[in-house]
Amino acid sequence: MTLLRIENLKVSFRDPGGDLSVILDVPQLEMAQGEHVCLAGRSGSGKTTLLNAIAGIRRTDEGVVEVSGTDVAKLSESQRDRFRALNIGYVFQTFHLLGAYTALENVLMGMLFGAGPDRVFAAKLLDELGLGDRLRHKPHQLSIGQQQRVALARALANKPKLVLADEPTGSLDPGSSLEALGLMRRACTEHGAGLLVVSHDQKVIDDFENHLDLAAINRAAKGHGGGA
Amino acid sequence: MKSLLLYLGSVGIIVLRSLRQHALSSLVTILSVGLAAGLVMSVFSVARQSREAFSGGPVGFDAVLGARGSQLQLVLNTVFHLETSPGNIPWSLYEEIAAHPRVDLAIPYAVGDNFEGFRIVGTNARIFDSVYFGDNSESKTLLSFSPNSRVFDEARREAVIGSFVAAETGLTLGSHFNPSHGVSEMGASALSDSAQHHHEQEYVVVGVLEPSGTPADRVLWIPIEGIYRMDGHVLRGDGEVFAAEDGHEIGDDHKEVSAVMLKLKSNRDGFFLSQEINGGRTDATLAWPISASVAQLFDKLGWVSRVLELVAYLVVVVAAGSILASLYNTMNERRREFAILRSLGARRRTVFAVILCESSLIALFGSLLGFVFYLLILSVVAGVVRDQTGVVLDVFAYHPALLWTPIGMLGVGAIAGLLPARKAYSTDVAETLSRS
Repeated sequence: MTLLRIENLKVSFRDPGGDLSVILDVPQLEMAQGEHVCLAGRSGSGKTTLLNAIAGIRRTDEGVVEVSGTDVAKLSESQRDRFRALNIGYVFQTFHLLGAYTALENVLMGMLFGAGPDRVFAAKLLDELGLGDRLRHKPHQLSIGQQQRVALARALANKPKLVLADEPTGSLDPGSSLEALGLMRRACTEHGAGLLVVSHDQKVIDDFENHLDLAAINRAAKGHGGGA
Repeated sequence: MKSLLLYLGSVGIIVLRSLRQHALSSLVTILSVGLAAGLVMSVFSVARQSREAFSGGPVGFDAVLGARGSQLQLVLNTVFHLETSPGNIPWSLYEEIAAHPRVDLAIPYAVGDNFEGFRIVGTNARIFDSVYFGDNSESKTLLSFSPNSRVFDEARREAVIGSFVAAETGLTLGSHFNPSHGVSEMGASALSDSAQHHHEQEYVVVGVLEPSGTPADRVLWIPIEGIYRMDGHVLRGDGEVFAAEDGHEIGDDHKEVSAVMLKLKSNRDGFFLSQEINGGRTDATLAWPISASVAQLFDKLGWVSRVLELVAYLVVVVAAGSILASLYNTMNERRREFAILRSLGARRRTVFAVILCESSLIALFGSLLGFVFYLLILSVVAGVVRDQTGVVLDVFAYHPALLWTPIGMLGVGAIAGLLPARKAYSTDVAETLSRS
């Protein structure tokens, strides 16, 4: 069963000179339910833009972005917000945790606009990710790896069908990056979520059976070569 | 319903957390809003209460007859014991007005002396058994005496003193005192002891009055004959200078009074008596109705009220500005927070509502604090007014400003939040997150 289907997706932006530049032009991309896929791409290949378009954070110009049968591109902005809250978890490269909130509260905030706050489930998630004794710590009191796990717990908080991860090992030291990735993949599997990772880290790319070169599928990317 | 509650709960959680996160600036803003709300409520409430208190209740009389001159001066001098007397009128005029068919009660006042700055009023005992004092309500009462007190004997050097006089001077039942010559225009503090002539006549306090919340609290009452017989006083009732001598009666033709306090048979009688005296005679003035004379004073001072109102409104504008500035200043740091919340599924209208609620909540807390400032300001003002005039303002009295000021402040708070809310609303999630 298809989890993600992209067809003829185009995203452009207006440069400072006022000209319209296409930064994403993806003719086809599909992902099955529960599948883990890695999109490899260098800086400027449109990785983050693609994830933002799938999450409905960025408006698309053309094409289909279907998540679990719903074309996100056709939804209004507030419908996209609601859809994202209920169906998509997002782990940002720099985690984007709320500094004034504790680890537990960060996860609860993830639930606030989706399934609704569930303190027990939020604590369970953090416990599963090894943060059972860090619930009341604020982000600045946590290590980078722990912050990433809070971000992951927050992404899983609404039991999403799809988790998007932007350079998930980008802020971690090389020694712990694969361990963190493994944790993320296990957690997504346990919670039945598909995982779409974008990364330029070869170790991460190699960890996935399904990996695609974004430069190959994005016709607007520099160095677009047309192959997978 | 559940989703609405969840929505409100979400907004509430974020707002409260933000207020806590920016506790210092929130507190300063709440203080400034509180001060503004307190000032606005105080200005309106004090203006109305003073007007009502001075032109209404504590008077006890319908009209005052005095020397030809300003009705306002006559009222201030005799009812509120402020200002100097506009002059004296002969005893014959008192007798004439007392016998007038339109007059129910006439009580003579003779002033000109003080004790430690408090006015001494020479009068007769009817002031205690026939005149009802009180506040604006229907609960006017006779001046009531403290235990073991009694009315002065008109043939002796005895005094009945107001409660405030007793408290301030230390005079009590059985105390002796010597009146001093002269009266202050502005109240007790304006006369220096060394500059005064102390009369040799010694008076004994036979009565201390209970607090009445009226100017009577600030008065020492003695028999009117006592004023005539003070050393150094002269009478000109018949136009000739006459000095009373001990052991000799004073003929009525020599006597004079500062004013005659009147209770009339009806309002209609007041109108006709006013026409008769103010329109038909040149030797006296009738101040009627007393409240109209005081209202005249407040009308003359209306601009002061308006200036104070303007100042209060300006403070509200400053408070609104401080709400706007405090929220706007945090917007740069909070833009990232809003972008994260949006990425988690918060809608634009949610972050807009968060800021509006935050500014309104600051206004609400400020307004609640405003009541504390209001009570403080009013307590101070009421204390000063009481000290200076004896008139009591009710700190807890209702005024519509107590209702519309908090509502208005909420509105002002919400409006002040519009600009920062608009900024939060237009946050570009993708761009903000990519930059932070």
